Amino acid sequence: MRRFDDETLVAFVDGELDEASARDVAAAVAADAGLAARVEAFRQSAMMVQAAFARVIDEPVPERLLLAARGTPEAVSEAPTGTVVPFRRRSAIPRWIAVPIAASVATLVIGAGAGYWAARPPVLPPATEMAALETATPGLVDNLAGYYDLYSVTGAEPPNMDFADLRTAERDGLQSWLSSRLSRETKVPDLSTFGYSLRGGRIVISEGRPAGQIIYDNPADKRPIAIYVGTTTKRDAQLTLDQRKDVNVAYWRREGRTIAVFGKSDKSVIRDIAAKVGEGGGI
Amino acid sequence: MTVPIGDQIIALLPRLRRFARGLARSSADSDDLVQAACERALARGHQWQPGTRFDSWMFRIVQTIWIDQMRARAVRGEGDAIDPEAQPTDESVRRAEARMSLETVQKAVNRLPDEQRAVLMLVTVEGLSYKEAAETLGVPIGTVMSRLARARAAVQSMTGMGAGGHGGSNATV
Repeated sequence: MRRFDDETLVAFVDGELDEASARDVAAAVAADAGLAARVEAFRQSAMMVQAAFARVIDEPVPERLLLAARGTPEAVSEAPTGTVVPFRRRSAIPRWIAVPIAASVATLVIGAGAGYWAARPPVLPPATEMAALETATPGLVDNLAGYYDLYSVTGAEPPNMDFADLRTAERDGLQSWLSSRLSRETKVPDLSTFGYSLRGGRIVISEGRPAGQIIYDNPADKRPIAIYVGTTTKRDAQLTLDQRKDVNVAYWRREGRTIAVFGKSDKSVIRDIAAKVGEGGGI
Repeated sequence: MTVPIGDQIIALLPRLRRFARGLARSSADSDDLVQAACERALARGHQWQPGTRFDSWMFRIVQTIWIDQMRARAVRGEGDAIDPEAQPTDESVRRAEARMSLETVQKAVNRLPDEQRAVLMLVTVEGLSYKEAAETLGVPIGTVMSRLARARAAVQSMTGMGAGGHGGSNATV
């Protein structure tokens, strides 16, 4: 019986042997139960190692890494109100940059002078206790608009630049995944009546906590829509329309959730989509 | 259509974190490592050649910085003691340890010699080919094969996943 070393067997499992050698191993495996067990063990252990690290992909990426990738951590020293992002020990970013999530990604993507027009009259009255959302969380919209911009740069236009963590475009699967990640039942709205189909979802950070980002594409329009759903401890707030550069935003708070719709489509479209999303209690 | 390097890095961040987690043994250390790699990649972005794999280039940066850090620690006399943070002592994990668990596997990977960990993460977790891993690490392909075989056998041995006494795990000892 020919003896195979571990290197050969591992390479066989990994599909790295040339054709002739792979045939030799396969034939030997078929004839030798002990060898087959060794090969199977290598296969199993590879799967276990993959599985052991798979969950890292699902973890929210810390803000400081998003900042480091943008190369402008110093740009965020002016911190408005909001949730302080705790930085890890021994971070290369000094503690004083511990900024509200708000100021982080957004500052990098959205021009500093990007103003917004004042809150519009409500088109949707979802709340009993109304409060102006924008004054309470001025940077949240910046942050989420930044995420939207990231998507439209890296996700939509060069079609092969998907985020590694963008999840299934299958609605039921995405709903249960988001519900489990956000520890709360989360519905994925159907926007097909607007011509948008579901592209996928991922977890982002909002107000220091995981939030869901659901992306929709419209083949006829090329401008994706993103819906964010995050948790909040703030009071309910009615729907507000806003703008960051060329991104239109509609957002509101209801029952411990902040929901926002982002897109470069006309603001009337964004408002209509928001109204649809808000129907029946929202997401 | 050139995608800005910062965007390419952001798209890779989840995988960079995963790779670093296998190397650095604790989540704080591994995120420090990724952060340093982001900074170096931006500073040296001109060195990346379009048409080559961007992920391999980034993995190489992560790995190079990590090696530098390990050397610096060795010089400072900090032992290679296993970070307690990477060794969950959670009771539930302990109770589950009779059975194979993902925590057990991750711990086993963390106990491997450094150079074996890097190869195992690149090939088995990140899905690089042997050739790509060899190029990323700057070692011959034969070295990749032998480190990988030793790593896989050691993980099996540590987790009791061996082939039921057929001696697979000690074949290369």
